[in-house]
Amino acid sequence: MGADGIGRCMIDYLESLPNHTKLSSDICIVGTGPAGISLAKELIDSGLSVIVLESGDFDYDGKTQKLYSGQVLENLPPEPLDVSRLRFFGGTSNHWGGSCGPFDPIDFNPRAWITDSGWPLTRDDLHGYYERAHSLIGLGPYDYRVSSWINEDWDLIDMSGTDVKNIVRQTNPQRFGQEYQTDLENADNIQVILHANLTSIQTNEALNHVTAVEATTLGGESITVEARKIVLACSGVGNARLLLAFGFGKKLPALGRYFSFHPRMRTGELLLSNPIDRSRFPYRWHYVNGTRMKFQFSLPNQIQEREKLPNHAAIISEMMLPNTMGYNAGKRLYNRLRGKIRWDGVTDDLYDVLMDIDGAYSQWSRRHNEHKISQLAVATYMDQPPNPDSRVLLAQEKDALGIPQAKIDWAHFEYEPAAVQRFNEILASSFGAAGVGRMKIVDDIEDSQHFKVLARELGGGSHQIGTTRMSQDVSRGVVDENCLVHGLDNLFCAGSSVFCTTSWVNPTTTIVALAVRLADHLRAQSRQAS
Amino acid sequence: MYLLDHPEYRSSYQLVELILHGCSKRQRQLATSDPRCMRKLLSEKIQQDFRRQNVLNLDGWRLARTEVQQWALMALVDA
Repeated sequence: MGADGIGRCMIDYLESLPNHTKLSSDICIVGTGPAGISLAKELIDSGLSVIVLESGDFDYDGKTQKLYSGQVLENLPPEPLDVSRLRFFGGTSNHWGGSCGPFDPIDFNPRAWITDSGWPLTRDDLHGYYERAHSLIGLGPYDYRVSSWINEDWDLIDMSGTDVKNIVRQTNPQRFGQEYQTDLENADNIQVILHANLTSIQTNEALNHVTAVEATTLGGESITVEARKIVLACSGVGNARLLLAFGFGKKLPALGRYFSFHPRMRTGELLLSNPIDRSRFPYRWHYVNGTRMKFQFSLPNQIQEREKLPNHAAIISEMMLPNTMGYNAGKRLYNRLRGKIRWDGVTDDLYDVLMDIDGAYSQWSRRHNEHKISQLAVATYMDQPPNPDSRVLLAQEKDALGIPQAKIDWAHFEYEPAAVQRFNEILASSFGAAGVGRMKIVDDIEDSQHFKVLARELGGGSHQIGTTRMSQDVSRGVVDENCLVHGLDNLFCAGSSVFCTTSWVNPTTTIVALAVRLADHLRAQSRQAS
Repeated sequence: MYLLDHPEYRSSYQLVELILHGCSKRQRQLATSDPRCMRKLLSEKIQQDFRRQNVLNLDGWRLARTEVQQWALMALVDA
């Protein structure tokens, strides 16, 4: 039985429903990325009827993907909008790398040296939700203490007595669509509708209550959903874009502002005093009791406060020569034999190996026979201070449904390049103090133009953050601490768009934790209402 | 590069004094008579320099002042 009482399969295509059908439900979720799917999953058997609208299909489709096209001024963030995000069931989790971690407590606290920092909730408020998020993402134990992961087979650098600490990251590239499709299909109270693009949000005359949303296929078929509560889970850029396109910007001055991503930049190289055996190098991904994890570095709270720095982090990785054509082709052949990639293009790869057999063999030999690492690349993962002048706007161009494309105009504060430079100076001094080796910092980080060049090099633009951020102050935020849009009583946002700060860490754990929290909030509201 | 920026230190005697600055008489005696003691002393001084941010940036490399003075001394001796 469908969410609105009509008997049907629980995942439908919009075009299979009669045109202009009116559906009703308790909750309507728009989007099936990690936020949307986590929210829906947590509402299974809640007693609430839920309709989930997804623009795409179960797999990639070029025409639907094109709906994500947009503009990125100065190529910052570096990834085009229709490349960094995916628009089909499961959303961008269909191609993400899986790196995870909770925000640090300091990320939630107001920091006097970072304007507009501070969330209307604390890390403690999310503690239980982070644990539940871990389970949804398929990560290991919710334990990020370094002592829990130290292994006698590794040479972890002892940074005690320095200004830098070791930290832990985990990874699991959970494909939310594939993982939870069956659960949603089998849920009696959840109906997923594919090919359903949100094309309008209708409100009452007082503009304080959403009465219905409309969804349309690329072919023009449409339905209307009247839901008691609506949750937009359309990505960090998508939420702001849709709200701006549907006219909500007039009453929400912060809408689209405070756009951040996670610039990652190559900031130095580290020459080790004593080369480390590659097998004992803990700063790359390893499996520990079935959990894929690694170590990296960040600054303790007191150092951030002393230096007035954001919460940056650094990774060190082996410096490798670029892969040769023959090596890459050989690697792809090997991965086909392991069943990791498809067999399309195998003859091209065989040809490439034969044409560059020297390159293939010499690189393979070097990687497998040289056991010691003596030279490491250092990359900084930035915690971007919230900047109201960094914005998602609407472009003149429209997509195939007539909705204006998003345009990103990223900005950084003048002090940010100097903050990255200072972070790396502290890192270099700490490596020296620990007797690890000597670090060379990349030239001209503090030069604004070169800073932008560095910010383009290593990506980080898939993390699109802050455009409908939380704040009690409507001039500084779009949603309250429960993700309810200001001025409305039944429209919510989910995903990284609600973040107040970015931290350095990948956002998915916090996205899912907040989605789970929102699910609990919606259940509680429903119980109170009844 | 350090000597170019600090021509006033183009004297091996001055550089030795700078390197051993802060060491007690006993430490100096041990260091100058036993290479192992000298290595240990220099290593500790270098790590202390990093902890105290007593560092120099030379061509992007962040180095302890003591070790830079040490290399300057070796450059003078070799010249």
